[in-house]
Amino acid sequence: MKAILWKEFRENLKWGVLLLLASAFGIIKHQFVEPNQIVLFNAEYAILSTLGFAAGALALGLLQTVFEGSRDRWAFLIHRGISPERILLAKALVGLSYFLAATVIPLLGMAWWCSQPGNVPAPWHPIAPLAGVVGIFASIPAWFAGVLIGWRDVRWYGVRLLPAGLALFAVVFALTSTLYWDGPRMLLTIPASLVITAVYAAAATGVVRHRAGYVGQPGATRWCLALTTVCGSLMLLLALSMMTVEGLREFRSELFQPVLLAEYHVTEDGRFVRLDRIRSTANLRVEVVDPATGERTPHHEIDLYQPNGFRVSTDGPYPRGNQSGQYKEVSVRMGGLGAGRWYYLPQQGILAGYSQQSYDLVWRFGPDGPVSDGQAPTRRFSGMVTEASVGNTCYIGRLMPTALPQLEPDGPRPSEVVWFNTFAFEEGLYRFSRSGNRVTRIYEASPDKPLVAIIPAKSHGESAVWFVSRRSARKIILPMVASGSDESVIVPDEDTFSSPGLPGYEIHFPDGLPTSGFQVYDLPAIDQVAYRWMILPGSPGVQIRSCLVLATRDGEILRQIEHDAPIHSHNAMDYMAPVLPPVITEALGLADLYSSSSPLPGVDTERYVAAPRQTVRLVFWLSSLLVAGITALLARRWNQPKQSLIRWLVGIAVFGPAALVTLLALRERPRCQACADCGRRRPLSETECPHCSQPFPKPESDGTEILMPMTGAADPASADIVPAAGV
Amino acid sequence: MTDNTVSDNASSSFVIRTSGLTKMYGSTVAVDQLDLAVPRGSVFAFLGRNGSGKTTTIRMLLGFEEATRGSAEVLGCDSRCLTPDLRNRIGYLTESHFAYGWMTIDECERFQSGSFDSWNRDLFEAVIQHFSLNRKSRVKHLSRGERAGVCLAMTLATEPELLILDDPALGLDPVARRGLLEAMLYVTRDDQRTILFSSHQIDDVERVADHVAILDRGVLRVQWLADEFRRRIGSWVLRFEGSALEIPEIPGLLGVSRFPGEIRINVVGDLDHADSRLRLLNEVQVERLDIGMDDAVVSYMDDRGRRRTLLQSIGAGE
Repeated sequence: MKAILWKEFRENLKWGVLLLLASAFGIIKHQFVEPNQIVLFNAEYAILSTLGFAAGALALGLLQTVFEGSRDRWAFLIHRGISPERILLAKALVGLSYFLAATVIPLLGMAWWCSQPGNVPAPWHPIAPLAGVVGIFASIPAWFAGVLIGWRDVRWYGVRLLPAGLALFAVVFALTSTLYWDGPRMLLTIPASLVITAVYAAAATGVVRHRAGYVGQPGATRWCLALTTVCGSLMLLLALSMMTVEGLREFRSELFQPVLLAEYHVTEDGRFVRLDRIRSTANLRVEVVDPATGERTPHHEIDLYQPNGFRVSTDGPYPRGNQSGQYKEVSVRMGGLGAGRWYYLPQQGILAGYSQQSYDLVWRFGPDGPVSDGQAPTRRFSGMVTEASVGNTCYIGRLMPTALPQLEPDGPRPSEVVWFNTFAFEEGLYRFSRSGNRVTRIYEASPDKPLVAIIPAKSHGESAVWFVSRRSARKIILPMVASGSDESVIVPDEDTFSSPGLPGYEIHFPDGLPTSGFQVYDLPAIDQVAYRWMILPGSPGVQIRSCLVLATRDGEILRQIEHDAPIHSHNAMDYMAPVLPPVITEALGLADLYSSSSPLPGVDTERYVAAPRQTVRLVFWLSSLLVAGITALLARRWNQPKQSLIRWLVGIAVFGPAALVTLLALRERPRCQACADCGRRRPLSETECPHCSQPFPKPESDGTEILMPMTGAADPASADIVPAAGV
Repeated sequence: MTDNTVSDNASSSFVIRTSGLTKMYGSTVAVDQLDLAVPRGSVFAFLGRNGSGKTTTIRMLLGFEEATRGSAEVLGCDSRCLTPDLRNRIGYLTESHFAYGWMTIDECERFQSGSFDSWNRDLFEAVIQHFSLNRKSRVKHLSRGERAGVCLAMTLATEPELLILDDPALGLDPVARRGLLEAMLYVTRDDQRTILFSSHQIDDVERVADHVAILDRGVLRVQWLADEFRRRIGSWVLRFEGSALEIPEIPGLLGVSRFPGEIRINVVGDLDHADSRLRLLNEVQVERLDIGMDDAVVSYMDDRGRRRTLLQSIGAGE
């Protein structure tokens, strides 16, 4: 095996070096092109370390094998006193060594460089390279996928490429976890990648034994190859489904909804409206819905109640913060300080500012003000920094008004009123003095209600701030200190929130709200009933149906209406439905995506789509039966036993049409011809006809044969000379 | 098909046996129900025209090509599942004389010697010397003949029990060919060693082969001792005056070549019977010729009366 190892090292050195250079270039490029990026944490690096590394691994695996697959070169490689499995092992050891060297070395180099003060305007933590490590692990299956593509001797490259589907799945899984720095998923990626690698390794072991065959492979390796291929088939069908669905939508097919977007909102005067974005015209159709009767009436004014509503995200306060959990980049503008990048360091309980010029750490703030370098703060901020504006992570921590005011000529200027330096934590709201040398807590949250968001609101001529916790929200109406023509500006100072008798109230969220997040619209009392609208948008892939909850401020639910109109129809589940078997489609309720329904009880049944739900279900079931029928037909045509047919049908039931694609891609088609004796079709691979048990006829003799008997030593006297009738 | 166990015939008189071995590419039959038996210790020439199925058969024997049906045993084992131990005992020289182009000859030796249990360094050196090769040369810089020499050295040095050479003389000059034959004779100094080789060099076959097999469009027509094979083929020249001559029906008629006033025919089988039939022709001078291996083999490889000769096709034979 040493000889094979040596040969592989020598032969693929150039590819290893090329991969190393590409990887190093990719890793350091954005640091020099875009030096303000936080290296090892940004999205570009996440993409590079997953898709980029995987592409490199796949290319390396392919280059190590595709040329070896040619006829005599393959024979030269395999025909030696080493088992094919050991040859594969040698290739894997060398290929993965090169891959790891090409990725780990630049990663470690960059990590070391980033850890040196003055190189990056951000704190350093050893967990920073984790995304790269996850990407490396997730890319290992891609090397084996390259081997399968390179070595499998099948009809065409499309079939060769299918087994790469599982590797692609691993990479996409890793990418989505690293993009959002989803710690548990990132850690899960590592063992999952190792399992997938084992599956690929087993499949490659079978392929190195039988490059063209599938049936002849050992059972375990065959199943592993089938698993990788079925994943590829699923991805292929998903892509086809996506193109088909989008194509049909684009042409306004009767099968799909003509409405691009359907949402429910609340108007300033408390009416419940439904917005339909019409696909063909892109116009917005607005209708007022009476929840009591379901009647809808056209409405032309779009004066929504957005400013006084807010969204409560239960995904955590920082869906896309600086994801490591070790620090959070926050938005701070210190008037008296220079330009810098600011971070909250939860373990130290301080805010840290890095100079944009020198990249050095120059500012450190605790709750009591500036903290000298090398000294611990006398007190620390506790809890996490809090979202302080709606859905905009650029403003994590900093409270800012929702709109720029039209100011009076002698009023405060925007630069003075907009960028006031408040900072929100779970424990409360702090304000920084303009000079940057004093910090004051101006609002203290109840210990049992840590803040998840602080949201400014302006409506009905009042300025207010929502202090939102998990189960309730407190609204404090602020005094106006500056007013524009039709807007208000809030400029809280140290005493604003501590003033006794500050107007406001608290609302309690009803129990049982889903965890996917919800929106709250706080409305004035209507018909003498103090209730609030709450609209819970359906969460794609998690909960299809949306729900409208009418509740009092105390959290008592007055009415709850479910509606299953499509909200945001562009998600992967749209495309999965035709690809999955009906059992799974039913379980996930995916048929509803294409079906009509009444948006609200009592509301007219105008259809979003032409086909009712039962019709859609029927189409899915019939198409699945068609796939099963094709499978049964194939089994019969290929002379397969009943056990094989049952196995195939189970595959169809579990994986849907992808199983049929896999079957067609992997299973060799038995070639048949008419039997010379019985006339029925007989497989060419069988010595005897399965119908009449007759062997194939011997090649036609032309009377010139001189054939030695097949047993014993050659004896000239026993030469079998076939007499001929002449030429 | 047989299983992958060494059969009772492992030490029997045949190192290769096939039974109904068939290979089809689409509807084309490349090898048609081949029943081949290669005796142990023989030098077995495997002959046939281009595309007759020789290389396909060899690749099936070594497990690189899957048979459509039928079975093959090599050294007593199913050819589809040759173990590394068995491959250690089989030397194989590919048709294209493949070796890694980036390797030097020294590196070729290092690579090959590390992959086989036995390695005869002296033999490798001798073959390299015979071909006058510089051991520091890279394979990609060698001529085809030189590359064949390197491959031959790599194959022979493993001292295989069974040596399978797929057209080893391809691209070799006469001196190198002579060296190849000597090397083959060297291998068979041990009577337990067997060589199966395909070739288009009939005089090489005549020199070293003691068994010969001929494939004709995938069908095995001849499998016999080389000398006996030659003796069973007769050749006659019929000289006559006039424009045409009807040939009588002769069993085993291999081929007929027509020239102006002259017909040459080859027959296999009962040569006395053929001779007597020919001499019954009126106004025809019949002369029986001695036939060499070259003519005997070409008789089988040719179209055997199924079409006209090349000279006839271009008009020179009319």
